Amino acid sequence: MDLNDLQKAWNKLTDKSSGQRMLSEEEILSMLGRRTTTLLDRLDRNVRIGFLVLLAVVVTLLGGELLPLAGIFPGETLAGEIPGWLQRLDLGVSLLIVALFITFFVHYRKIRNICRQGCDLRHTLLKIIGVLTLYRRLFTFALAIILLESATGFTAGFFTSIHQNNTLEGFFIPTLGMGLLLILLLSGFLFFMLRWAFRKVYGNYLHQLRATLAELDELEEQGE
Amino acid sequence: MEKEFLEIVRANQGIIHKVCNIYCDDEEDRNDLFQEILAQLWKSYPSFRKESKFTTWMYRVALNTAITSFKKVRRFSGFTRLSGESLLVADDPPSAETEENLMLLKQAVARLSGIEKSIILLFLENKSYEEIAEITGITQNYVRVKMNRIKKKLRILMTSEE
Repeated sequence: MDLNDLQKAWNKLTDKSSGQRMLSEEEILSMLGRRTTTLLDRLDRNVRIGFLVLLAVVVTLLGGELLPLAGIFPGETLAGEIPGWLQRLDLGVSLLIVALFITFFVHYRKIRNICRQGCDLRHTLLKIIGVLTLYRRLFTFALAIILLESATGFTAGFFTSIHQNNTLEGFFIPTLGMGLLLILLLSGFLFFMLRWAFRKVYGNYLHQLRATLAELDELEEQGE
Repeated sequence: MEKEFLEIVRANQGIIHKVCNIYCDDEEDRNDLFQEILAQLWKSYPSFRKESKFTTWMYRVALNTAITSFKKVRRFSGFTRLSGESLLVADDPPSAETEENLMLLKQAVARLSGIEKSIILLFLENKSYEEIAEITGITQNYVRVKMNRIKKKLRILMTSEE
């Protein structure tokens, strides 16, 4: 059967159906009233909420670094009880988190600017894949903050405790190691839980979008 | 702007129906995709600069929405099979020959990928290679390459169905 015959059949069918199911302006308006956001809008909103939460965490961390305890509570100084290397590590972790946050934000701005509205399929795919990937990485980033801050906080607290009362002196290394291991295990569990949940909800979708993009790219590459 | 939008969408809503019909088998999914496309059109309308034809822009938004539809992926992990009803929306039944051709076409189209479906839909709607390229974001040469492949694929699929 020739494709031209199919085209004729298609035209006949669409001609016949042209008078069918035509919605009035009121019906279209009513439909629009029921849904005004798209998937990308919803994802974008979630990413922005994520950024706000992380920004709050980053500001809190920076506040902790810039406003030492002694400044708020005179007489309460722990700095001398925590080893210098640990203080530097804590500062490094906070700076790393701030740098990561800025990197994420710049990346997000780039993705948002891929195309504004009504762009072609290729750019639409790139944008949705970019937003979804960023969304997933934000979870990992949040987890990294928890892990790094918990580990440094725990270690600092441990040293302070030892300095104030020497009750843990004999158990120093095993207790510290056990504490860090617990944090690591908890973070590992959270990481795999988040990854599993993301894959469950968006895994197939992301895979399909990438496959579609690969199909488009394959065509472009063949011509180069 | 709202009135202008409603008028122009009402006049060209056949495009949305065609896109929904080729991508969705189930009535509920078709309605859902229809709403999703409407929402996307409404959101994008302020940025429509009339550099391209309205119908070209509408096809672009509708096909982008259909191909990237989240619900479709969630419900159907594999390809979607079009039922006998999905393209038949007329009261007046087509002739036996047309119906046979149509069934073959539907079965073959159901086996195409999302991009292939969009290209064949635009081809069947008599869109030029230039317009197809503008809608899909690939160059005209690659639209031709792709179109030739789809034609071959459809011939094979339709021959095997006969």
